[in-house]
Amino acid sequence: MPKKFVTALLSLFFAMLACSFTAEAVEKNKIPQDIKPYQDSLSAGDLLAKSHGDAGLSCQDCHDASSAYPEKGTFQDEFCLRCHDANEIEKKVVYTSKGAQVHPHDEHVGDIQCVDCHSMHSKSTLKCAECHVQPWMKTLPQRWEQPK
Amino acid sequence: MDIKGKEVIDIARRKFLKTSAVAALGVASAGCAASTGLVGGDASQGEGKQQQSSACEGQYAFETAPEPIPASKITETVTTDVVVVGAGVSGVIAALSAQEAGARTIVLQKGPVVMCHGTTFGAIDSKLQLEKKCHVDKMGAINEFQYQSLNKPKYQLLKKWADHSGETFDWINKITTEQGNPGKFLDKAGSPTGNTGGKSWFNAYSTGHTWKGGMMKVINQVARKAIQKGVEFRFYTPAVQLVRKENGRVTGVIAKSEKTGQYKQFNARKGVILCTGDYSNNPDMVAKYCPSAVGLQNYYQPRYNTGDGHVMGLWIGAGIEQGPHTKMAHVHSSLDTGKGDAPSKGAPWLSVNHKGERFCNEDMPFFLMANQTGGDQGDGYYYHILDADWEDNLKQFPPRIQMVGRPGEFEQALKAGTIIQADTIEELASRLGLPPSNLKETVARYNELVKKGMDEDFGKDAIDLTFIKKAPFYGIPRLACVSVVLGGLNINSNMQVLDTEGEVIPGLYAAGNASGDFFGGANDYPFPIIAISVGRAGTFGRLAGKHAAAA
Repeated sequence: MPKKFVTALLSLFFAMLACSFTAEAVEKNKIPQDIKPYQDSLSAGDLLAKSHGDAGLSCQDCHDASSAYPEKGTFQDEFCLRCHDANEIEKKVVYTSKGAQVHPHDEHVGDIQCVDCHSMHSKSTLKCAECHVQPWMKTLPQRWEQPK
Repeated sequence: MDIKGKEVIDIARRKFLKTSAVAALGVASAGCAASTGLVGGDASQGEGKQQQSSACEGQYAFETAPEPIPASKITETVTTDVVVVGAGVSGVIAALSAQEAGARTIVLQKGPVVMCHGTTFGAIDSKLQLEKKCHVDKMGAINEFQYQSLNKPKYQLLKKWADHSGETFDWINKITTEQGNPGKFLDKAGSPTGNTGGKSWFNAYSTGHTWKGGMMKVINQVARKAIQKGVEFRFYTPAVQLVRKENGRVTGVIAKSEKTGQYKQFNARKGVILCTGDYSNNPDMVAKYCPSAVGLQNYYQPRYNTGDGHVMGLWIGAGIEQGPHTKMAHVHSSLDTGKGDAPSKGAPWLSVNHKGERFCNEDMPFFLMANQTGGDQGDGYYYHILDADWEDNLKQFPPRIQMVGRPGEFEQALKAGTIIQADTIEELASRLGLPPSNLKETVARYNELVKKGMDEDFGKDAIDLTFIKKAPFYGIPRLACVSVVLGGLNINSNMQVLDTEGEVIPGLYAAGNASGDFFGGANDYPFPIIAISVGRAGTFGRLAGKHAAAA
């Protein structure tokens, strides 16, 4: 079966799931207006949620499906790394500054979680830019807050 | 001008009318008035808040010891051999040194990451130096440093650095080399005898060593090695109080999680090593101990360096180096690190202040400009004024530190906006925000002096006088701002902290900028020994770690 077709099928399946989820939320909690922008960000806009929607994910893939409506989650790195490969990321995400290679994910020994920078439903923020701004930081896609 | 995060240390807003020169430190007194300042009981300003706390008349809030945190508030207790407070140059090195010497070591760090500054490590008799047949005159070097520091440092500390800096560099360099980052010796900077044959402002001993990526890269690599060797790092966990009963041993330290607000106690069988860095982001401490830094901006982020180790030491009876303390104020284009710095800050071009007037002999090195541009005299900015012949000027000027930029650097700076170009002096003045008529007058007078070949106004050397006549004209804003203030707790040459009577406080060490007695407070950081600040931090961190482990 062609891969594209499978992806499309999967997307349809997840979209249907998401719809039923939202319908349930409307009925039980009557706060669809709060959830709608989050749900919409899976299929439109330029936030990170869109990339995840495009990959066929739905609300329940990240949020607790047992509650009446998706609640804000606390996501540890282990959660993100279920799908993403840390070594692949490390290899792929390399920038240049002053002639040297910069690996944003591996420059500092410390306790920085994925979610400290990467946000799904709002603009992502570069934590590194709190201390220093390098030219590559100003070349990131729209879903990132532009460092000052 | 785009000045990011302009935060001037302003003494005027801190109206503490001092009634006594020195109040008793580290002792809580009754009947104190409330004032705003460093939070009593919480050494960390990492949460970025200032609260009401009790302080006596004539004292800053930080001088009053807080009530001890009760055992009932401690949510986790850990016992280990050595606790290092702070993960910068001295802390990370102290931790790995202690662990290698057999002591189980925990590092407590404010904020999310290992953090330090600097690019160059000063050392004598490293393998790289000796391979280059560079034999630095050790006694000459430290005696020159002692002299330029007005004979105020504890000489034994300088000697300790001189005797152990080379081996410390070699030890670090082995670790970084294993991780693909070998260091190099800067043999072109300074000379083994300290006499460069140049001008008196940069007669320096050749002690500089550096790595690609500077000290941040290096200390991260040492930290990775430390983790491999079993050192435990606790991030977001700034220490807030030392644990000491009466005049006994320091048996541990209490930290407060920045994430949960919970207190955690770390007991140390062998010792606590304070490596918390300087206090240049604690305005009260700067006002009290380093008044010459008041009114200047601070270059470095994050603003975690609030003197936590200093105050925790004071609260349990440690002595602190007599003020005023030394400041290091270097020159940058602005606080915007993204734009970078314009080249040639060491060039002796005509320099004017915010009034568009000359303010000193431009032969003065850039690292002393803060004293003529900050405080009551301005916001730290001054402006190099040059013309189309700037490249020829650089060939004419005798060599000195930070004078000739890399090829293409000038053009890059023009593009980045750190160098301003204009066709007339008036236009240049308006673009720099200077009074045009003043700048025009200053340039006219300066050209007169160049023509005469004699600087009748400030006595600058004739060879450093160059015309400003040919368009386009250039202006380069230079910001003199604080890198670090250098003064700390009294220590002996084993890095053990001393009390106000000069007696060792058992179980307590300090290294790097939390420790004192090295720079002596001779106003500004002297330059005869290249990179002695980072060199001291690393060397003393290593010695403190080894000594604590052997306790």
